[in-house]
Amino acid sequence: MTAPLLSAEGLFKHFPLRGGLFGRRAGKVHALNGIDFAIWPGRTLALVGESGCGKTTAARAVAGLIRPDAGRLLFRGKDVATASGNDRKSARRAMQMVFQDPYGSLNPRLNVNAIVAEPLVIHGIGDGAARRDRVAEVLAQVGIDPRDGERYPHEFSGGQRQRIAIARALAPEPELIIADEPLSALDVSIQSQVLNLLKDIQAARGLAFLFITHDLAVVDYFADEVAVMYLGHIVERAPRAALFAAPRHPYTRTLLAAAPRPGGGKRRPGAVPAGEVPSPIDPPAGCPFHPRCPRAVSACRETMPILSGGDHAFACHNPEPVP
Amino acid sequence: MINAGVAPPALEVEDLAVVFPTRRGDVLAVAGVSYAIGRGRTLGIVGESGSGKSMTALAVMGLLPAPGRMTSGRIHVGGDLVSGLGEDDMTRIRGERIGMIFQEPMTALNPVFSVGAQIAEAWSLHRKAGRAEARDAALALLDRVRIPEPSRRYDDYPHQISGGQRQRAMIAMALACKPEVLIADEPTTALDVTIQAQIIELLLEIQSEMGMAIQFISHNLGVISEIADDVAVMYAGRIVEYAPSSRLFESPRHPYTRALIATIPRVGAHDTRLPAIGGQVPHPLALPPGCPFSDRCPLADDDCRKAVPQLTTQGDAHRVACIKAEAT
Amino acid sequence: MIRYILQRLGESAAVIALMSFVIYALIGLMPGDPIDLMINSDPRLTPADAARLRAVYGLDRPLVDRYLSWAAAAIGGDFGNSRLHVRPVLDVMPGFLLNTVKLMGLSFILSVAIAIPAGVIAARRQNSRLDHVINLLCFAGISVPVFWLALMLIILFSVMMPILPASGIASVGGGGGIMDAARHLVLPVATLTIFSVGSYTRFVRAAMIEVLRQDYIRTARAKGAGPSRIVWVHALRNAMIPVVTVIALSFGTLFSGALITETMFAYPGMGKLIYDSIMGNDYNMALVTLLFATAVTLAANLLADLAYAWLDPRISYAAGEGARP
Repeated sequence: MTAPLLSAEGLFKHFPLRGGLFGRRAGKVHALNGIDFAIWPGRTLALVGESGCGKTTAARAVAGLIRPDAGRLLFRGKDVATASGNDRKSARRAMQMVFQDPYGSLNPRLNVNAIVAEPLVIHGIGDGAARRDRVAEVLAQVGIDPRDGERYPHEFSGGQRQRIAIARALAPEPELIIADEPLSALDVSIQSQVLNLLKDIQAARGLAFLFITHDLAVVDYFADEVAVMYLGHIVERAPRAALFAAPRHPYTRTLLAAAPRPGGGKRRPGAVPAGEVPSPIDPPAGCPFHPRCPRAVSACRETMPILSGGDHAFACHNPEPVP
Repeated sequence: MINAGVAPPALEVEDLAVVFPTRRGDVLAVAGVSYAIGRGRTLGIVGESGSGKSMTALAVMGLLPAPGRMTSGRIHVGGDLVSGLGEDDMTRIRGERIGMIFQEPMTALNPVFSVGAQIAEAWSLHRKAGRAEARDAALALLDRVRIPEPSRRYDDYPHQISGGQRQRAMIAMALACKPEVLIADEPTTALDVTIQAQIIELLLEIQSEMGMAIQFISHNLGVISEIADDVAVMYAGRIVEYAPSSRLFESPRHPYTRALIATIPRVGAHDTRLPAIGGQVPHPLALPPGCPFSDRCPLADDDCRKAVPQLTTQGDAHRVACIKAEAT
Repeated sequence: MIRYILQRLGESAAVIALMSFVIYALIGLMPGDPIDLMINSDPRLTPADAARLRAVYGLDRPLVDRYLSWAAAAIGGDFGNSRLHVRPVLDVMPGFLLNTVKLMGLSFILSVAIAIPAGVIAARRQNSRLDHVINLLCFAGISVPVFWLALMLIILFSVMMPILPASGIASVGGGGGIMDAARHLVLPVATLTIFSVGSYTRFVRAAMIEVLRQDYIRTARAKGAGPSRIVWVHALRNAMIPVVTVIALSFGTLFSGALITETMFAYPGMGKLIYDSIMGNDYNMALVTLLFATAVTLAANLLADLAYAWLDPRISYAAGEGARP
């Protein structure tokens, strides 16, 4: 296999929690507890998990929106944090983000042309005429009529706004798109349009994706590799087909059992264990999933299992048997 | 109440219409919607935003937000006509005979009262009893919805418990007086998938015990499929297809329903391309003539644009509002 | 919680110490000093006498030195003598303070007692005729200058219809008893109440409208709570959270309103005491009364924060302690 486009090594991020009125540190949110993953050119890695699992923090760390406390981000083998100015700028340009909420992520005071041109301006790409051409080109690619470029975000529907956000991400010709729940705010009939668009763009331009989602069905449809996260840890990481064919971590299995299936009939009791995701401020000792895990053994309460197993890695003392 | 053999449905809605006057004209949010839910049964109402599914629920509760109003329709609960009742009578029926839970359990609970007190209130509003009895009832309800350590959680405020527990508390509140009907408006949309599964499980379990009818509203066909006996698909304020759940998912007849089911990505469909519905939900003031789906429908022709198709049965429990339905 | 209160009291003490210097310096910068007044009243005083008197009173020393010796004495409980009253400042103040407490307390209670129901009713019937009338009255009360209002009330009720006394706290000749005292309070209290009730009503109305559109109000209706229960139980407590803060922060405005009111009605309260001491170059009295006003404003803010925590369980001032009341 070729070298990864981006790899994350041991990313750590703990957010301090301020208490009282005087900003005393009252604890910290364990958002990322040392996670590793890699994304190859033209392929999609999905980070999947429930709220509080750290998937959005991971995406923001990759996009450079937050600085991890520890760990390295290597873009084409070079550490983004210590790279020379030029290398860092080109890495930033090569990684663009699409956010969940197409209402909040577009500046309401800028027209569509200005929104899509913004990354070109930031990175000093092209002159006025070249930028105009580029904006028209990417707008057409995402299915927005370039003649609507003078209009403002509020004049568009949610699905169209997400297309505009995608056009903005595409404008500086990135190699990696970081998409944080890009479908969640959209209506069902619009979700498939956007998902198809993302797939077409990937096929046409060989883009890599870091795709953040809670929806396993979308993962199965869109991803090549999958990393399942729980309370700041990657608990299972595998190629898509392997993960869905034989999930080894009990949490992955729980997520699969919880995912509703249209036409699958009424929910049968007992498929999902009781209990909820513990607080990331005060995570349980040992494996973070053990309080809910139907397969927990005594070791799970004491030591955090290490993510191991090569291509299909999982962090579990008592994994699900291979079916 | 047993009259003449057949018990009336727990909830029956006939020809409901809701209008919102706006500066640019009257928006017909709900247009001629009829359905019935029997005791212990669940009707799933599925639709996208603006389809009128939430307005249908609020009309049943008599809680339409201003300036919305019911322009036609009759609503019966357990055979008793409740539409057109005055505010005082409706206040007695809400919570007592119809309960409702909402999408955002955080904002739906009052932040300055403890969870237990809010549940106790729901009970005591309709019961002549003292504080201690109300507290006991609330504790029993907290236990019933599987909130651990009810006596400790009773005094917690909504911000002190998790989203899943908040929704459980909402369920306890809505079911405090054992209503005949529970209306659930997207109750799992704000929750994580594992919590969503737990809440659906809980609702099914309590339903089998209490026998209430549930009107379950969701945009998520998967969730609807997990809880509903019958499904009504709404589009632009109208029911376009109404069928037993298994029938609807096995052989959907309306082009919109079929597209909706086909567009959902599902596990095991990696190498296929998702069929997408073109266009977008029309603006309620700019509906196409005739069938409201005609501008996005692959089967639409001039006939479809002549009149709004009526929901008609095809000789069984499966009803569809499409003149092309038989041809498909 | 106690820790929080202690910390806030410490902060307040620091603010008062700082303010004492600022006020001291400002008074020192005012044109004229007590010796000038003595010269004015006794033309036989020579410039040499004036210089000698300045030395006697320590007025020839630099401002900082004077401040430090004042502060040292103040910490020992000696705030000096009032020049105008020729008695220790702390002996003079209580009588005036009690009068102000009566005036401000009564009009505050009256304002709140009117503002809450009026604001709630206006919010419940938003855009109704009643709401418009309440709004109009509020704006009238907010816009009318206090001194003009006081004059109008005096003209109306003391001159044209002489039913109420226009000044002081007791009739000349005394012996009026409690009814006489109450009659003297009517016009000042009415003035100050009209001055503050409009803005309070507006706060209550705005907060109530905001709360009535919250989801939890719909929930309360869905469980069968009647309209009055919705308003007085479910909505009012939430609406009071912002109202309490705004009212506490407007305490200074109420105090300045009281100052004008007392002056207009020759009412012997703190406002009149402050006014007279500044006009009469009564340094010690001006300093102490202004500091006292500062302390009261700080105390009002602290009380507002505590009330805020009591009303809103989401607010906790103690780290590690649950927000349970």
